[in-house]
Amino acid sequence: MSLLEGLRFSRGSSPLHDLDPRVKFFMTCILFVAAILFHEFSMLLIIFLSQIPIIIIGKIIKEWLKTLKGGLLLATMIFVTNLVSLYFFRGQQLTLDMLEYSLALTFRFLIMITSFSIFFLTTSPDKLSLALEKAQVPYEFNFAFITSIRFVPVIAEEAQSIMDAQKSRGLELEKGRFLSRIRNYIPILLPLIVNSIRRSLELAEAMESRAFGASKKRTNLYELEMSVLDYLVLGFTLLILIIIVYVRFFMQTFMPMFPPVRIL
Amino acid sequence: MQTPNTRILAEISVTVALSVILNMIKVYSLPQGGSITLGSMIPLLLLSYRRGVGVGVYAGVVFGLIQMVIEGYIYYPLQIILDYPLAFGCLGLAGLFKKHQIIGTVVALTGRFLAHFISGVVFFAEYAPKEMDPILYSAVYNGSYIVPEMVISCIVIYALMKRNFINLNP
Repeated sequence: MSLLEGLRFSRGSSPLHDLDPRVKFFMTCILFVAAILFHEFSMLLIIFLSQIPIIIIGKIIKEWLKTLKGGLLLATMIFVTNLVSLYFFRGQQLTLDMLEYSLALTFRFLIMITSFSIFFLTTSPDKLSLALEKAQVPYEFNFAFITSIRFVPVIAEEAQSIMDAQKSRGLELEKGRFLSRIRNYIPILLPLIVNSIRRSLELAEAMESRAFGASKKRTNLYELEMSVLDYLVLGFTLLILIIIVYVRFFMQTFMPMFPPVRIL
Repeated sequence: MQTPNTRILAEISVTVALSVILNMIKVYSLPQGGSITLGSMIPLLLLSYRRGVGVGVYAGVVFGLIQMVIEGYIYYPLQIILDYPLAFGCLGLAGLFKKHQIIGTVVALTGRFLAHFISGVVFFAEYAPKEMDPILYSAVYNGSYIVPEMVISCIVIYALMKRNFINLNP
């Protein structure tokens, strides 16, 4: 089923998946801040390489590579536009430190993508919702978020069977020019919308019959609790933050790796 | 008797899920890589007409967040907020034009375009060199998929309204 391809939420199990979502979010933010604070290629490369063990622990290498592939075009664009503009606006010459600067900007971008994929690829929607609830986000919003995610595969299946049914009646989807294509899709759209309206009615009835919103104070089956490991990771992250700030503000790190040697 | 709150929550959930699915069905692929979806905005627009601006914006924000988790084109904090919750929250603006649905569709998608456009300008300004003009690029790129999307949404919503397909006054 091609439709369900994009629905795979990370349901893996690894130390990273079990980490408290709040700690994980903090970690992501620190990586992100680190990427913003530095603009030397050497430092950015170190940060980038330090993310790779995290990804290996989280067992999300495949998904991460997919994300990187998505960002590759933009990364190349950042690299090329910076290099080309430096070339033309600095007297039409290319030096090694220009190359380094462009590479540094590209790596900063890659670090940002990676730090956010680490969070979103290893946090299931349920945990995200729990964390949101702890952050005082209204429960109604959480509920809508989680229920929608739960309904996506259900409706995907329905859309697929409607498409198959209409195709078996001779509906051609991949043919024709722009407007006729849109017209061909209407026999799929209408049953989908009708079915969804019916489904929302059923959902409301099911919610009512389970006394949704009857009690003001809600309790959860699973509670977020910080384990020893969570505190350890939190402490380690704080240590890293202190080191980053110290290196950035109290040590002179503004040294390019390469001298401005002309290569072109 | 169902309380209106429960009913609205159920409608938001199903509408958003439907929009996510429609967003995955590509009707037409553009040469430069973008693609036009099967009017993924239509359920959200219909919900806005039916339940008003507040619920529409609410559903749009939820849709944006789910899109964010699924697609994950996450590059920059400001870009996340602009491209996902804010852009799709703008779709709720359609609720202001309950009587003139076509105008509502145009306004809502223009709002979405503006959010993506600003995100493009801000985001590229961070990386693009000072000498490059990111405004034109952002406008062309985002316009290339929003305009066809707008045309599809208008056609389908016009057809639905003409047949009196959905009760907009619950």
